[in-house]
Parts: sequence; C-alpha cells; structure tokens
Amino acid sequence: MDWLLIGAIAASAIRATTPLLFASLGGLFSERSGVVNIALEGIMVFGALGAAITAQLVERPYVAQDPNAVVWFAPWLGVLAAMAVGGFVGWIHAVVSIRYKADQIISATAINLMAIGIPAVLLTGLYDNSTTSERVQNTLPTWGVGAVQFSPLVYLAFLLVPTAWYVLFRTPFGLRLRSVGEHPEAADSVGIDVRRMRYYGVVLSGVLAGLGGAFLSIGNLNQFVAEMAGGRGYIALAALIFGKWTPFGALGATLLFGTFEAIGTLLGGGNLLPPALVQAIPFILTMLVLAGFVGRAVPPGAVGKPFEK
Amino acid sequence: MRRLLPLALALVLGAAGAQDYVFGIVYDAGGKFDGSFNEGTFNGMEAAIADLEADGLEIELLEFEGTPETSAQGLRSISEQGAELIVAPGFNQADSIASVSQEFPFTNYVLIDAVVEADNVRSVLFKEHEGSFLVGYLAGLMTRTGTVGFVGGMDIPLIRNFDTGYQQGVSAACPECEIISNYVGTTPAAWNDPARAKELASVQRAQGADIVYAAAGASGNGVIEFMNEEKCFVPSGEVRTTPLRDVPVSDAYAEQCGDDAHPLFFIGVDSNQNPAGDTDADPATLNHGLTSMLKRVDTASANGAYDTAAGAFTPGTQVLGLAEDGVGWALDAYNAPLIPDATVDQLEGIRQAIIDGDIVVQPYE
Repeated sequence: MDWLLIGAIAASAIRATTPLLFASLGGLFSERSGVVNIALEGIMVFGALGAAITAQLVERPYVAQDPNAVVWFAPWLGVLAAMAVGGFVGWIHAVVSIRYKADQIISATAINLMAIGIPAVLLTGLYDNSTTSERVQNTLPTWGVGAVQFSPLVYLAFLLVPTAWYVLFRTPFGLRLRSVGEHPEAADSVGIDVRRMRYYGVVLSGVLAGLGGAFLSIGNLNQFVAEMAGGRGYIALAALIFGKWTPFGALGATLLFGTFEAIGTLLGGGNLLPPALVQAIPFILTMLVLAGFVGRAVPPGAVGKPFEK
Repeated sequence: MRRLLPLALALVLGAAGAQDYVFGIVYDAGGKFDGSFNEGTFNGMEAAIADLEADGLEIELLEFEGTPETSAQGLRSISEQGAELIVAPGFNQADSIASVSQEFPFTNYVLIDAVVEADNVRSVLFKEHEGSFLVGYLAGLMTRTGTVGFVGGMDIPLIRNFDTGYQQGVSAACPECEIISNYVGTTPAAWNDPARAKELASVQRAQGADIVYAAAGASGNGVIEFMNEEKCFVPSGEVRTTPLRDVPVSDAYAEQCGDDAHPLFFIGVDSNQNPAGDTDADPATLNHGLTSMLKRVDTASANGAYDTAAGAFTPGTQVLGLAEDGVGWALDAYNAPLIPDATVDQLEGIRQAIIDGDIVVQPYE
C-alpha cells in the first residue's frame, strides 16, 4: 500500500461520508424536536432529483447553442432547488405528523414510497425513460489544493457540524428545539410554541437531507439515477443513534460508516473478504449500541410522540 | 416492489391501434438509457422499425423498464397486448421468459445472454471473452504505466467472462503488465450505481491504472465520468513507450494538464461508447474513450424484428463471436486520431488469428 492509494481511499471515504453527514444532521434537528424522520431516505432522492433536473433544464438552452457552454450557475441553482424540494417534502411530513398527529413512521414511509414512484413519472415525462436523468454537463466544481479536490458540498457538510452544535446547544433556538423534543408539556407551559418549533426542526431536516441528495446527483456524479440514495437515509439515522443524537457523535459515526463503505467498495470483486460483510459491520455496531453494550444511547424524551395540548 | 408504479404508466401509452406489428422490449436492470447494453438493444430495435416502416409497415414499440422481479409482469403485459415479438436483454430474464413464452405461444421472444429452449424463443449468446481479448490487447499496447483496470457490474460468470478475456488480451500484448479488477456489487443494483463505479476508477487510478475497461451497464458511466474529469496523470516513475499518436488536446485538457502529463482512457462496452469520451464536442482532439468492446445486442434485437416481420423467425440458440461479427472493437472518428494505422492492422491481425483459431481465448469457467 502506498500513500497514493491510501489517499484515494481516504478521499473515497470522505465522499461516502458527505451525504450521510447531511442526512444525519438533518435527522438530528428533526429528532431533537421530537419527530422521527425516516423520510430522510425519500427526501434525499427528491433532493437529488430536484438538483439534477434543475441544473439540466437551466443549462439546456445554453448547451443547445454551444455544446461547450460553461453555465456556472446551473449547478448552484440545482443545489438551491434541492434545498427547496427537501424542505418542502420535510414540510409535508411535518404537516401530516405534527398538525394531523398521524403516526410519524407511516407518514415517512409514505414519503419514501413516493420517492420511488414520482421520480419515475417525472423522468418519463422529461427524458423518456424511468430510471435516469440526462447527464448534466455543468456539475458542481471541485475546490481544493493540489490533489485534494472535493465538491464544495463536502466542505459545507463538515462545516455544518460545529454550526449545528452551536445552534443546538448555545442558542435560545436550540434550547427551545431540544425542550420540545424532551418534554413538550413543560416547554408549552413556559410559552414555547411546540408545534412551530417542531415544524422548524422537520423542515430543516428536509433542507439538509436535500443537500445530501444534491451531492449525490450533481456533486459526486453528473446525473440522477433511480434509487440513488441507496439506503443512505436509513444509514444516516443509524449513525445518528450511534452518535447518540449529538452533532459530533454523528460526525464520528458517519465517518466510520463512510470508511466502511469505501473499504467495501474497494473490496468488490476481490477474494479477500466479501464486501457485503465489511459494509454490514457498522450496522452490527449500531445494534450493539442500541442494545446498550457499547454505552447507552438515550433518545430525546418525547421523540415519536405527537404533542397533544 | 421497487419500481412498480412507474412502469404501469409506460404501458398505458401503448394501447391498441391499427398497426401491422407490435414489438416490445423489456429491460430488467440498469435502465433504458444506460449508454450500453440496454440502449444498444433499443437502438437496434429502433433502427429496424425505421427500416420496416420505410417499407410501408406500421409498427408500434412497447417498452417496460423493470427489475429482475418485475420483468415477468412486463413480458406478460406486453404479450397480452398482442405483441408479435419481445426482446428481453438480460440473463436475469431467463426464468420469466421460460414461463411467459409458454403462456403466449404466438409471440416470439429474443432472449439475450441466457438460454431458454422453446419453440418461440431465440436465445442469443455472445463470446464476450473474444471481444474483450481484443480491447485488452489494445490496452496492453497503450498503457503508459503498465497497469490497467477492469470494472465489472454485477459479479456473475457472464461479467467474469469479459474480465478473463480482457486479462488474456492485456497479457498477450504486455506480459509484464498488471491488471486490477473490481466489481461494483453482487445484486442487480450494481448495473445502475455509477457513483460506486467512479470510486472504483479513482482507487484503480491510485494503484497505477491509466486505462480502465468498464463492463458494468449504466454503472460504467461512472468510470467514463471519472476519466473525463481527471483527464490525465503525471507519472511518478518511468513510463512505457506506446504507439499513441500525438493528437491536439482540448482547451480544458491543456489547462488542467501540463506537458509532462499523460492522458487517461476508458474502454466502453456493448454499445460504441467512444463518443462519451469527447469532452469538447470535437472528435479530432484527444478523446478519453480508447475504444469500446462492441457486443452487437443491436444486431440481435434488429434481426429479431426483421425475421418476425418477414415471417422467418427461428427459435434456437445463437452464439455470436468475432467470426459472426457478434463482438468486436469500435474504431470511429473519435478514437481513430489516437490509434496509428499500424496498430489498427495489428489488432485486425489478432482478430483474424482468433477467428482462424490460431489464438484461443479461454472463456470463464
């Protein structure tokens, strides 16, 4: 093993971590406010789709005139679209589970199922097939020094970790958000608008998961592919639990999961170890954490429970 | 259950009409526009239909994009709509074809990459190892680093067959060369995971590979994307001399790569993917597609259409190799500027030697 290879694997691990980290931080805001959000998976798909379609449609007239056209703002509009779409889908989950007090798991599952059907319909209408978008020519640039080059979204994901920590644990907003997740009745009694705080949490989680989706389609690649999230939304939730519902815990857990994913990818086709086994290790660890063998993971007190005033 | 919803929609579009023939294609993984296997099947069918319609026939094409679990539904539903012919690209569809072909004895089926014996099924197999030997030979001649890569889709004997042919070809041209081989996954999702294929390409590059052959359906686009993005490498040690021609480079290449850099290449598969390596819409400048291993699924699909329209459809198994032009290597305006005529002649010589039996390419066992 030489340094070049180790560097490549490390870079691969960081790229694998990024979408998990976005979704995991999203899950953090949602769950800390008391709403379980397994819709992260579907929201990532919608985000990826929104980013790819927006970037492709924005650049289309320019590329039609000049096939080498550089449309620098196309991918950035794609990122904004992913955030908007993610926030919107998150808002749907919020309306159903906060306003109408429906079971949060069912609502989120419905969103995940929609993420299978709706993209296919849109793709069929736009691109005459149900699995892929047309390739985007102007994807996000890479920033970095020398051989260390990453999509701007990678840096953003890592910068969001201390930001999330600061917001959650050092601002009045964060205190309120955590209080409605721990003990909504107490929060309500001191005049905090529980529902509003939960809306913030869930919509914010949608925006973040949407960013993760944008990274998948136009940050790391140049098109949308059906089922692109590939279970990353669920993995992000596992990472959230593994990280004990804290931003830095989530960072550590997603880095671990990302590293295992990178190693598993590398092993594909080799005779050393079955890659599926390596990729399963993080989940075995998560189970152990859940069962309390590796320190206890205590969820927010009121997570999953609708608030009845 | 994964893609049920959308697929029904695609079918609604194609209800009855006053056409002479109804043809169908059922894709089971990777998606229609994968640029490779499925798209080749579609392109062949489209060309045949255009041909037949020019002769005054009216033909309707029904398509179904499914998964290995739902392909039987697609086959059944298109058969029920009175299709005379359905082409099924994908080894995973063998079981579905076996049962559906019995239910609809008056529909012809062309199954690609697997064998089903029935009176209305034509099974088409390809000698992927022979075509892969040729592109491997070219890779062996052209690699600067002495290391080349292979990225397979789903880890199955069929793709191992590409792998083994490629390895034999590389070694024949360059006995001391190293070959790194990886697979995207072990489930049908591996046909449509370009992100993971791209990671594999980056890791193979880090291990020294400067040419990577992708036999991975839509996932191969990740390898193509990696090469187009990375464009070149600066060698850390000695480089081999290769017959690569001196070609003008794109502006982006000139900007990204210095004088001491060498270009990176992919090798495409099934369809001619050479044009995908053209980053500046100018075939005359350096192109990152070295060549493509052509697997003529388009011919298989088109022949099914022509034979059905002529009432001359024959069941049975066809095995198409170099001799039958079922596999080959792509040389076109995009890679001709890269490859000197002498090398083209050399490859044609190898091709002939395989056809004549002077070179025996071992398939995967």
